[in-house]
Amino acid sequence: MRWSTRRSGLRRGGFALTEAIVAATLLLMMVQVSWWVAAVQSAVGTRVVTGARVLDETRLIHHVITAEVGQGRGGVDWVLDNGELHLRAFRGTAFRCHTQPAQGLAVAVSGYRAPDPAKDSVMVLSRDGAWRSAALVRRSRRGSLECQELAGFQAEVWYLDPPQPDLLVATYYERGAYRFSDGAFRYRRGNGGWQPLTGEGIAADSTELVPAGPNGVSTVVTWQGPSPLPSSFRWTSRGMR
Amino acid sequence: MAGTQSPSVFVPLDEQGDAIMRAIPDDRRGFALVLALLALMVLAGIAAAALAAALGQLRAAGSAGRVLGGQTGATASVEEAIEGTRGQPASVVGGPAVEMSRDTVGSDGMRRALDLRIAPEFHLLVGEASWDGGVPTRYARVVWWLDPEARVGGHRAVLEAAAVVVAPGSRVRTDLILQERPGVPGCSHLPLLAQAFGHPGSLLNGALPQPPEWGAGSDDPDFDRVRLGRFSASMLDSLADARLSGDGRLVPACAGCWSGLVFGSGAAHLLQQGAGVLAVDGDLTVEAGASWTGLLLAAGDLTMASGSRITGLLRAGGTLTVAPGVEVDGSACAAIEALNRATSLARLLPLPGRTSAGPVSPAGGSE
Repeated sequence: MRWSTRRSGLRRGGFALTEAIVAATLLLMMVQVSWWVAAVQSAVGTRVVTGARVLDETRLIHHVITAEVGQGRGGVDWVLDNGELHLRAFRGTAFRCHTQPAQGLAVAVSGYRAPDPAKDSVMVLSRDGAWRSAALVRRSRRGSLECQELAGFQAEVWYLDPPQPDLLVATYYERGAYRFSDGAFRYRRGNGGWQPLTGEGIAADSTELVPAGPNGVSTVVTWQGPSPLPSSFRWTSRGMR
Repeated sequence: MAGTQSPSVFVPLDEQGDAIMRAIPDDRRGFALVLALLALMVLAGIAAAALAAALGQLRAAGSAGRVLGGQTGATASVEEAIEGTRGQPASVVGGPAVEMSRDTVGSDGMRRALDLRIAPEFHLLVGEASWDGGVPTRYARVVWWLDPEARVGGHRAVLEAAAVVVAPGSRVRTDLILQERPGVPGCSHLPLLAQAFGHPGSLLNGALPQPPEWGAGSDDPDFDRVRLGRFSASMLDSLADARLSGDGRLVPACAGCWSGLVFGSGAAHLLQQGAGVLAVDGDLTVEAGASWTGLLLAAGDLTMASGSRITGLLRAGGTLTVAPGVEVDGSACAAIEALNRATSLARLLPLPGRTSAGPVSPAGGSE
């Protein structure tokens, strides 16, 4: 390896006006470039975060609609009306306990949440193979109930109207509806208000819930604003066969 | 500062002696490096944000995929149990759930099907699955599964029909209805039969029961003809082990053995001996010299000609005529044995209308 030795030129003393202008210009350009880079970084970061939020909320909408539609039958348990999905939102299952109390009906219950007589009704399967609807008037828990053990199920006593002494299996549900409005995906329990399930940013004019055959729902979700991802998503959810 | 000189800087040259290499003043060497580091920091920040977002999406999508895999596995466990299970259930009413199948899925997942017997012929099947450490997912469905004791326990008399005509000179026995016979074990120990045939009234004849035991209810119009539990005429036809031919013979022949499920249609005649479950979607005539051991079901009229013999139980949607010289030996045990031997009926039938019993919490998955 060899080495080369060079001497730098002599520096001139003082600052010429030209040098000052050039230096100021360069400094200004550097500040502008830095500002631009920071702005670009912020924009890119915002788009990345927005894209992630769009994906998360689209995934949530897909999961909710697919699960709700899949638990029921089109035209029976759910119906589409003017862009709103009205349905029996099934929340849990119960089966008949082997031993029964003198009053009420002992059942073992499991579901997304506990049954609530204030807002739930019950679909009852009897020995004739038919499902019938009944009101859940009251429920109570008793420690003395003997019921077949199945993980996740808890025994309790139901009081139904009309009484269903022949109950084998039941599923409880609340009345509800879904729709896209005011930029968000919303749910309404019974006749209550529309509660948002997602953040706003959905383009209402190009988002829809429409029938896909007698037992399907086609969903199109379009998001407003720039996104590194496609802004529109479409899928079809099928009801119970 | 004027007149000062920057100290010399030695710059290494490669073997080719790059002539471009030159000395760099000391006070300007770090500026480009600062700019480069600044740019790198900006790029690294963007990359880190993108990486964090991508990893978050990957985790969310992976979790959703595992849930979907679990749901599919749970549903598949139940569907496979329905399609593939044959024979009598191992579960008992009031007893714990019985594991019907168990498989591993993926590298660390499992799925299984549980059978909980709610009533003698109604079962709650629960499929459980977890996919590679995901949350256990469950799926429940109600099925009907024929129970010979419950089926025969739905009878209340030896002769059940819309109208029963028993001619003088015929012989209908009911006193040994729960007793054993040659080739037929006793059945008096079965509680549903003791309840069905232990009543004080006559066991000779009785009216037809209401749906879902017989006839079409709100469940399926196909049940308006012959039915056996939730087996309709068309299902009995498709599951038959043997058929009653136009000349009154069993096809295939089964001399001295149990034929399983035998199906006939139209104006059927029985001209030979046989044993099993004989279902006819029409009228049936048991001709002279013919005999049957087991269970006879006819959608229309059932006529027993003189010289014929039956050991078991009979049910007809029309008129049941017992001619003089006929011998009917009422036997619930023979009917049970016939159902036990009809292995094509020992299968799970999903109930129509709803394919799911409803949502079940994912808690408590595998044990």
